[in-house]
Amino acid sequence: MDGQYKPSAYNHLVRQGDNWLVFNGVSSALISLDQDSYNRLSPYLFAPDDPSSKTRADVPIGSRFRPTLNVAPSNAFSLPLDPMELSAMEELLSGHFIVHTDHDEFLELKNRFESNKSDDPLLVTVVTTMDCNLGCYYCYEDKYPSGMSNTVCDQILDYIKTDIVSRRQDRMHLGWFGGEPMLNRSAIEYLTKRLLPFCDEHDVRCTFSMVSNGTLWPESAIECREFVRSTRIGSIQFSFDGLPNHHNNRRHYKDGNSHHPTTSFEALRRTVDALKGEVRQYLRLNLDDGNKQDAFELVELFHQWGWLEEGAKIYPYLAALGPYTDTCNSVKRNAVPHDEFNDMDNEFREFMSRFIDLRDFSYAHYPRALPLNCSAVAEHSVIFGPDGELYKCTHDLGRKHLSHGHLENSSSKLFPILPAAAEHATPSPHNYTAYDPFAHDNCSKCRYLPTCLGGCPKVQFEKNEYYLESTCRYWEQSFEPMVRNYANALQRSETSHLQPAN
Amino acid sequence: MDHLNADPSTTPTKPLVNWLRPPDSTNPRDTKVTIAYECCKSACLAMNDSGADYARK
Repeated sequence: MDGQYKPSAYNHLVRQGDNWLVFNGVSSALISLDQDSYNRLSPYLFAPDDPSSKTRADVPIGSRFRPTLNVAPSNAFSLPLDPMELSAMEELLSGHFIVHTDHDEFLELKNRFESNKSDDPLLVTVVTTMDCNLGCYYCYEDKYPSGMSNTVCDQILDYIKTDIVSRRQDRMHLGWFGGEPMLNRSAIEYLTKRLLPFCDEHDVRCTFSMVSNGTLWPESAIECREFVRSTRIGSIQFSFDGLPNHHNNRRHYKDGNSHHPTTSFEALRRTVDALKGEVRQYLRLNLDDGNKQDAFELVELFHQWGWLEEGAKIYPYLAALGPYTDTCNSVKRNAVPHDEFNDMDNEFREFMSRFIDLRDFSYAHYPRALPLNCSAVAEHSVIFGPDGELYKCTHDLGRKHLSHGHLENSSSKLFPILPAAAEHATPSPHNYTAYDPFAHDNCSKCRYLPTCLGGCPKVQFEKNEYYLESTCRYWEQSFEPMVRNYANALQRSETSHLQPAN
Repeated sequence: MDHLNADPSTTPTKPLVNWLRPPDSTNPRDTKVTIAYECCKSACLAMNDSGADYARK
């Protein structure tokens, strides 16, 4: 270890009681320093005028943009002579907290992003239908009666096989999506039955997930479990819209709640209960201005039902309803303001850390250096619509003028999928694989760039002010509480292991 | 023990850095995590998280 070093431009400082936490955005590493260590090491970790060297309370909102991408050479330092500090330098170097003066972190991040874009595993989303049995007022999709046929399933299978074989892939992921995917359960079973032998034969590890409303699952718990076992579905996202009254009003049956002996809340509760411990279940708690007060009470119910016990594999989290697409633009009227939601979300994460091991659900509880911000920008991701259309973004689903071609017209070169020739399309489809946050004026200078990568590419392409603001506010308000909560939970967990059981 | 007479070479010292989370692996097989659909923060975690799982192998 020799030469000149400089602090990483992506170090963040977070106060934790009497100690200091330092997070690095390039490596996702986290260290804790007591006051003495902080006094000795902070000159190596932060440039004197670096806003990252101040905690959120000291920095005015809006200062997330860095004045320069890389710390100026004048902040370069030589290694200390003190043996303890020298030993610490080796650790800081391994965690990317300090780097060689000639190292360009921005270029490293950009190269990593481009490499992950082109060398990504196959990720397939299959939309078995664009229809749904529920009529949620906020739904962003353009729904229509449809059902994926066996012929389309066969074409998808050929598509998958071609990519796996030509790129010699040994892993892939398939997500079932809708509409409500369980409205066309036969397509799920048909495609799975043919895909699994191929994957087993070619030693391909294929994982499966689903996003479902939970109301069309078998009544019998045994049948529910048998279904996920036979289809190898390993994780499912279900949504709750508050306590039963609010949930049933928002997630109402299209043909009227009175026609159904079981409410949508009760049907979902039964499904989640049946799958407890069998698959990972992510419970998205949708909040708007009318049900936001339900979140904590709902989790208390989950607790009473045993859903938060060790081994239950159930992970609730908050989500803010908003105007994702023109179809649900009116939702803005009922949306929880960004700042209020972020405060609730921070409180909720802290609350949840009493029940779950945050390391088990770190995607939502710890800021990670992202390989990619969204699969839409990855070259080998594709969404198959029920009629064989190809899409890149779930929010484009159902808008055929935004599709990226059709299975019947796909050429021998499957990827990357580019926007179809959209002669009459207004607006035209986005070229998602060309997305580049490193060329963006604000994102390229932002201290949260490695953990955010600009957020949703569709939002960036369309300059959706509502969600651009939401993304920036999220990091400004949530970053420090998230890191602090994660560190607190880890340390609580270590302490509890040290104490004798009662 | 009189701390003034302690031998500094045998006095245990606490490291300056306390690790809470190591850096993410730089092994390409570990880091090829495909994040699924961003959908405006925390929308599709089932796909995100399983994406992370399968890439970790």
